[in-house]
Amino acid sequence: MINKTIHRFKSHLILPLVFALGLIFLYPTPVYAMHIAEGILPAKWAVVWYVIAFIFVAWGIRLIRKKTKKVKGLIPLLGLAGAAIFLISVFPVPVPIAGTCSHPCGTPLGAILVGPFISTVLGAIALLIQALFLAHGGFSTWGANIVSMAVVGSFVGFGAFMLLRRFNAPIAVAAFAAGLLGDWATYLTTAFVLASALHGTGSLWGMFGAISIAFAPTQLPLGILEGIFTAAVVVVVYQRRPELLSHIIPRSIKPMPNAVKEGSQ
Amino acid sequence: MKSLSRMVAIGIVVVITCLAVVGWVVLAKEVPEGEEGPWGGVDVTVIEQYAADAGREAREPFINTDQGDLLLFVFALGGAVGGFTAGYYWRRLLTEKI
Repeated sequence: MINKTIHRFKSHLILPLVFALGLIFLYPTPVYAMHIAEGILPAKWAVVWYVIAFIFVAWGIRLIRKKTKKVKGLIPLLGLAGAAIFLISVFPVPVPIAGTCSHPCGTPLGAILVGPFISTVLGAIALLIQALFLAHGGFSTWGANIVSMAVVGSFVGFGAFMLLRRFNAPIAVAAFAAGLLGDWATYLTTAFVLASALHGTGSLWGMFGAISIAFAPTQLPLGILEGIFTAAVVVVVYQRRPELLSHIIPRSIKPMPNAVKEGSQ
Repeated sequence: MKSLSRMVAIGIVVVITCLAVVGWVVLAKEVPEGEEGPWGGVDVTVIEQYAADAGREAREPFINTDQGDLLLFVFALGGAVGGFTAGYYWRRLLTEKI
């Protein structure tokens, strides 16, 4: 009975605990990024984005419950993936020439590793922790931030990866495109979220274009950076732990044999 | 046929990346410096700027950890708990097959 309780306690707590790993790498300065801050969206728009986000997050939670029942060792890995998304999506990167800072998203990488719905849930948890403890985003804008970063970042990244793999692109190229396009799509969605709520009597698409162009000098190079990072991680994971990617890269493509041997030790 | 589609896919990615680099250099000259000086975040230079123009201001966060050593405490606690947990499950995370 006691063992069962301890086991249940462990299996429920391990995800948030591993998640906190991301905090190790951060340093205590205010962070600057694309998250929409508390109070910027009017209430009705906040509700709309909450509803859309809820659909994806609920489906993702259902998938996590289903998969973790089948594969017991999955939860620590999901925790690690969540910590990675948390870290990447809060890490301010200075962009030369533009003279501004922003951050990558991490959700395209998460989507390749664990699937887009589960990556959406991990992204949502990361955004909640950031809103709670880092003043990064907000509660009223949590739904909008989930849609732009977690949902769109995951699905566009995953879609780009799958499409390019279908055209026989190398894993590194497909993962690069996933990171690149997932990042840009996230910021375009943020621009749309803002424009739809704030355009007033002006043109929605005019404001959307203006915000997108304002993001471009910072986010174009950051998308490339996210692409390089995503490609590097996916290639390393594929060489060291190919079974983690077996759901999207069939086993018929053999990774480097010595790397597999080392990874399974 | 297979190698042709592979070359086309790689070519598209290369072209998009080159266009992005050109766009970055061209558009970077237009970036206005925000009130907080250089290296400001796009949340301030873009999001909050457009929101302010539309009459919306960012509110104070519900929990403001940017006071004294509070933020340091949050990071230290998160790092300690996360590090301990990751260490405890190290083998399962990095070597054992699932």
